[in-house]
Amino acid sequence: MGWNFYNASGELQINDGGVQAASAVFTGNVDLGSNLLVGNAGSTGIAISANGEVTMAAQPATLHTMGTTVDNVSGDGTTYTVIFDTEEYDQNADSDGTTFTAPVTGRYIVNAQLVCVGITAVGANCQMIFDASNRDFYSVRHRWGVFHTAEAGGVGMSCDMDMDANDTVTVQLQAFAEGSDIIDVSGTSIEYTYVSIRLAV
Amino acid sequence: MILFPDGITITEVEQKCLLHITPEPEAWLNGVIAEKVSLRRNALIARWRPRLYADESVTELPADDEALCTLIMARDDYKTRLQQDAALNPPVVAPRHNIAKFEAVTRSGTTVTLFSSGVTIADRDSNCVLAYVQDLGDWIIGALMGQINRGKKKMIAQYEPIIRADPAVTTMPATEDGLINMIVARSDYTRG
Repeated sequence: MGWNFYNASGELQINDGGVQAASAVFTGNVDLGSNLLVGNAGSTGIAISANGEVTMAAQPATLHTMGTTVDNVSGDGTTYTVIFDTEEYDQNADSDGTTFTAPVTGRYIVNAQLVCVGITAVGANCQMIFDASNRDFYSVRHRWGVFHTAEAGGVGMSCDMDMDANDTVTVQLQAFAEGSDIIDVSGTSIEYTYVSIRLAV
Repeated sequence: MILFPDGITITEVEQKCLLHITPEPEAWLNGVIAEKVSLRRNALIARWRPRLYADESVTELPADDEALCTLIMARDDYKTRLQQDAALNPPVVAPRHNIAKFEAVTRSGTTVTLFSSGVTIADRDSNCVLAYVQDLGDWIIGALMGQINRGKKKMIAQYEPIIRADPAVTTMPATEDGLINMIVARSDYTRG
């Protein structure tokens, strides 16, 4: 078994019996003078810049917002599954704006905020639900009148969740105590209504 | 348990998206289900082991995972996810939103049927998943639709710049389906 560390161009090349080694073990520190790029089936999986910034271009990470208001989705307890109409980014193509599908098993961070309008004086409260395959996460019921005007309010929630590969999660809204479904989910050019999901570990 | 006894019918375009990142869709989905079963079996055992240890009426535990799951599921205090949700006040009804979204799409024209004889899952396996998941069929459709969506987005992200840079292309389809058909018809197209 022979080891070659440099090819004819002076680049680091590790060979094992003529076949590129599947793994290499370094028993001490590895100090790179410039960038580290770890290939991932032809695209960069992990990149460490010369300044030490780490980026992962294919790491699951999405941000969707709402550009247009959706009218009359809840109010008397109806569960509305939110359709986020604007994709800001979706690094690994895991979301269609409504449903995020986990590409691998892991712990995912989910953040969402919904702004609701059309609330009347009788409207009492609302809650957000992360409807995930293995379990649902509920926000504390949020009383409109305490924190917001009689017309607009909102709810936000954030959590870590375990997702198995191909599990799904959606964001849902339930508003209560109105006589009918008169509550709108607000979409504007300002990002009040959004969901972001990323693989943590 | 046999789910979707008549198979799962998707459009030709959906199949193209799926094939872009999944060479053998049925084998992939079988593997995905097997992984889900394994993960949920392990999770079920991890959740229940402390309770079994603390239960003085339990004098011995089977060393085999499947036998241990059978013992857990036979207990009076065991409930499936669906039973847990039904016991809440108010009860949570299984939304089946993946199936609802799937069925909301009109699939006319050329279609492809996956699992024409249905998806067969052993009861002992499906029960492990149903400890956590409300509806196994809905979960399967969610997995399939997620993979179709992923294939579509990755295909378009990869080939749209190539098409735009191609001087031979003067116009592009205005629909995703049209764009996908155009991409797959190109001589330089290869699956991802």
